[in-house]
Amino acid sequence: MFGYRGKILTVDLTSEEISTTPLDEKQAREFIGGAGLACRILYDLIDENTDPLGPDNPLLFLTGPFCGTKVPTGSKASLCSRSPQTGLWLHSTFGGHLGADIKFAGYDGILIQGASKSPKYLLVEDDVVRIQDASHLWGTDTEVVWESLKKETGHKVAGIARIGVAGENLVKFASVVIDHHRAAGRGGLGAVFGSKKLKAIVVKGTDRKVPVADETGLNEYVTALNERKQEEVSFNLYSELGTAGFVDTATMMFGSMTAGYYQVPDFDAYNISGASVKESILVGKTACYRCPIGCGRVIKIDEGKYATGKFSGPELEVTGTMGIQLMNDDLHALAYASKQLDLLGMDFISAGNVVAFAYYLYNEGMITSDDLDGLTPQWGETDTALKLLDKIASREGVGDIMAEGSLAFGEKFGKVTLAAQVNGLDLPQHDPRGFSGMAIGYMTSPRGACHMTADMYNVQMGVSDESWGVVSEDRFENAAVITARQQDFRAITNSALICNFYPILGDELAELFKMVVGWDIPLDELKLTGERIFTLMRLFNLRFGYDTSNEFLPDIVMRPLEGQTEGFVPDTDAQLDAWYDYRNWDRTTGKPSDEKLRKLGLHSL
Amino acid sequence: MTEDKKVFPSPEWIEKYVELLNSNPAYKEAAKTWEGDFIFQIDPDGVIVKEPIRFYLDLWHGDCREGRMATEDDDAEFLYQGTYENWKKLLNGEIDPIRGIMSRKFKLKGSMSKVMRATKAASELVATAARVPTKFIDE
Repeated sequence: MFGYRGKILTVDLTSEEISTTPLDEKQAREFIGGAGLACRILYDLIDENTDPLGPDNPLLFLTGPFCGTKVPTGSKASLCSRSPQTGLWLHSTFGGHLGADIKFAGYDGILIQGASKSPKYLLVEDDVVRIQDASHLWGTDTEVVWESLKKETGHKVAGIARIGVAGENLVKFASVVIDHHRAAGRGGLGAVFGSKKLKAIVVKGTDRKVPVADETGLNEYVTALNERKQEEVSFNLYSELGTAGFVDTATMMFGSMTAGYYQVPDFDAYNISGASVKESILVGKTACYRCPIGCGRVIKIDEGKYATGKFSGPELEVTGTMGIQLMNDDLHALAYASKQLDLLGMDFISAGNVVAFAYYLYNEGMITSDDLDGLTPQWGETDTALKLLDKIASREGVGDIMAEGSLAFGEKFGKVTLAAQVNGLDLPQHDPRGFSGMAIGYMTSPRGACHMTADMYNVQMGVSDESWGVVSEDRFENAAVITARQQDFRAITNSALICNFYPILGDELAELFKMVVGWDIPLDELKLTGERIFTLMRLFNLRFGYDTSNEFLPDIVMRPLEGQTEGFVPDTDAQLDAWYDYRNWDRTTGKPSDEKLRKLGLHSL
Repeated sequence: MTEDKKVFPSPEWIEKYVELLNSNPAYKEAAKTWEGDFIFQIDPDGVIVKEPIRFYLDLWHGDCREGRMATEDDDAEFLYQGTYENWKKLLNGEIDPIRGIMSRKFKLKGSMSKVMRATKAASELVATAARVPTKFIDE
């Protein structure tokens, strides 16, 4: 089987049994890898009785067929489980080199089941797999764990995934930090780690040769592909300015950044944009394995209240939550908050949003300082936010309810409709009033308000793929059908694990499958595969009582704004009507039709 | 009144463009810190344009110090290129210059961050070009 290793490492933390399971070749062809294949595998292991924070909830690290090969950005991997934050399906794609190390160790993935009674870490050195004591690491931050494990295992460049204290304390949006500050950030996978008393996994693989179907052809194709992509604006933008360059792009195109959930007035993000990072604190870049873009920022602040030393710099989402949403334009304070979130191990989006929500409720007079343990947050200052982050990670005082997420925090104060979330997952920095497709994308994403399952902000800024039928000339049009197609496309890239920032097209993906795996997949079949994967995730969620009553945008993002969104508010009902009609799913129950399931080969599930 | 239309691109068109740019106070203000030259290139489409057509603009602190047709050997800090059909749409206001890059209708070579710091200047550059009375070569 070209492109795959053909087996998954299975580790049971309860029994400490270690085994391997063969990869099902037919399933691989139908669901590819990453999020798609993980969903199919976990469909048989998770049901409505699976407690997301119980020992029965499995964690699956899964790579794709391109991982470890020369396919640019193709060496990401996916971490999947039932989300403790939403209760729904969860895949979180991460970069770094852990995915490649899993492949080089001889596996397509690592399935972790059960739970340990005491802190452990998993050490994988090719076929030697050990469950090690991690008591000495419990209570430490993600940087200490990383440095300690590199020293302890003697592997300076191993793939290392770890949690901070937020994960140990089962914060519902705790992240898993990977390698050089990449993360499986969304949905609370760090809490699943914590519930299993799993502090980290370390993977060192030595067989760096992943067999491909046509090595010569692949080398030539990849060289030409990279040459083409290097001429594209998104490639250059993320390479030169990191993901926070989106702030500069949005400012250039629309006059300002296009997300405004909690802050009331418009906000000038000039001082915290990707260009400002470059002009002031940037000292280097980092890239994931086989990535020619290198969007990771390395910054250095040695002096002042917010000294970070040399560390990873702020990316887009934290620039949004700890900068724009707080109306904080102090780049040093933002970089410091970004580092703090990394060390504690929390999702930049959800942690930042719940803090911004607290600022909003306080400043609008809906809660008092008594509700915030005496804190008095003011727009523009970050110190209160830093204190709240500490409280959340340790579940101290008000941090305990904030650690349950913005939905629970809003419920406590009777303000649930003001929490900027869908299905419990907080909205990223792409305002559905700025890009209509983000509305339907958030409402129907299998994992809650997610920008990675349908990046319609890109599409509606002009990034198109005519071969996939994804073109939108107007960012305020009803783009429900285009969004559905983009969801299917991202289902493919999140399964083959090509980075969203590498502007690949559908027909190019088909070529890569041919050269890496030897599959000749016509574009129509590839589209069907994307639809199959997206539909399977819906079937997964239906098990948990999901229905269309979950599909709406909260009031906080349905108020018209002046400025860059031009007063636009998406017509969510019209979008849902068009989306369900296109998908041939039931508008009331949310269920795919029998005809559709049969067409996709999912009718027996 | 008959407008004296200039053929795009031509030395006459560029001359008129430079004249309008240098008398545009909004551009002068927006670009007062800008330092950098551009080559604008019309890519061959095999129909209207057989060989690349290029013109050069030297932009400095709100002034256009030089504007002329360029050769293959000319170089500049920035290169902005697209087909004739897309240049027509740009000048007619049907394509936004940045959205044009995002949608692969135009390519930009040079520092993204520098251009993005000059949003208003870029808008005025395009707006001024749209004010040149233009006759397109395929009309």
